Amino acid sequence: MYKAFLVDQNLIAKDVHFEQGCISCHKGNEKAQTKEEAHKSMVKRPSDDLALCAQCHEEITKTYKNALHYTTAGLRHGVSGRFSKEEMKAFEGKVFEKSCRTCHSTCGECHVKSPVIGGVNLGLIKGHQFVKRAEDKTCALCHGGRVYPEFTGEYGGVADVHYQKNMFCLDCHKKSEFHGDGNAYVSRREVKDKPSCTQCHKMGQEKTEKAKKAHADHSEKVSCSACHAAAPYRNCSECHLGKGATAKPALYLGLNPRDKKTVTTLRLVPTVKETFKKADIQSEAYDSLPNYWDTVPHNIRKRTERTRSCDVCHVEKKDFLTKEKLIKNGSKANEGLLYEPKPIKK
Amino acid sequence: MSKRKGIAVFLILIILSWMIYHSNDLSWAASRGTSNCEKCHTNDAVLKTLYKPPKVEAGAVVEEGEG
Repeated sequence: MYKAFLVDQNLIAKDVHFEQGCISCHKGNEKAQTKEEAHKSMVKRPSDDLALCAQCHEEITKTYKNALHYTTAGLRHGVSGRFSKEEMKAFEGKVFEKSCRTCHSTCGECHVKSPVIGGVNLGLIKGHQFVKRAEDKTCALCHGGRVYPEFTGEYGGVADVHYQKNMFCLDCHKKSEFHGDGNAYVSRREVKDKPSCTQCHKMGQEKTEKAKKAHADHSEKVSCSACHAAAPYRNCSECHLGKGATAKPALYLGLNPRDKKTVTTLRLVPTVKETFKKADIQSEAYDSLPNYWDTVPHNIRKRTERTRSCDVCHVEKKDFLTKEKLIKNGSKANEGLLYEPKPIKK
Repeated sequence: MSKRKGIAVFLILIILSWMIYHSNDLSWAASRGTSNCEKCHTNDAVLKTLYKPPKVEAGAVVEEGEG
């Protein structure tokens, strides 16, 4: 594990980042004779202070200040609808700044050293090289609970077809989604130019008539993932309660809470009524938001059991969320997501 | 100019242009000595002796990545 902190000596003479010496970013005492002395007042994550990188990368840091990976505003947005005005104030001070905000990503956590998640510290990405991208050592750590293991097939089921075609996160998610575009979005749903399936897979250009018809029939009514998510994905609840999370694989279909005209894949999110109890927040408006949200599972395949036969949905009604499947003591809003597919007129 | 002198001048010119091209690298490499940070963090054997693995407490709740 010590190798994770081993710096590649060859880089030091070549890379301009090392020009001013280690202490110019990491502080500490470079003349000290012991590890303890040398590391006294050392800064582990120098790029926590964006001004440091801004000395040369001004354009990027200017937009990154408002980027969701830095502001973590999406975490606030996800739960704020469950709070009263008073509770929101308490949440800001007691929870958001002290807990959620500490998860923000620094420049270094994507370009130099893997982020530390759950005590797992992979250390330097490539001997302290400043890398452009290394999704398996960066994105995969923070998004390693759900997205990444689904994408690679490590969560069971099958790997995403894009992964099998050697595509990684940055092949769909553009640089501006990480560095920001200057706008201070409150959630990722608002971000302009998010990746979408139809950017590459144009409607009307399907290879078979069957696919063409299926897409035309379901257009605007069913999301791509509702048919093309290949396997159950992770559904979590009761995270952050100090006793571990409850997670199980499942595939749920139901109405999109953001657009109730479409059927999509739904994912159980971790927030429960007791999530913020320790901060004396009772979530007074808990029932105004559901526990299931629209999701694009990253385990997409061309052929799934739902693309092979219409009966899977229209007769068997397989995977559709039902009253019986809903979590116990969940939000009352969950029932608004139930959808019963209609039989096909023959 | 003799052939030998011509080759010598040519070689000197090549070396000079290489030095000018890499002047940036050479200037900082020469201007600073090796810090103690570098001495430990670039030496596999030394770092191995200094590294202390983090303590893992029994029963600790380890949270996974967000999403």
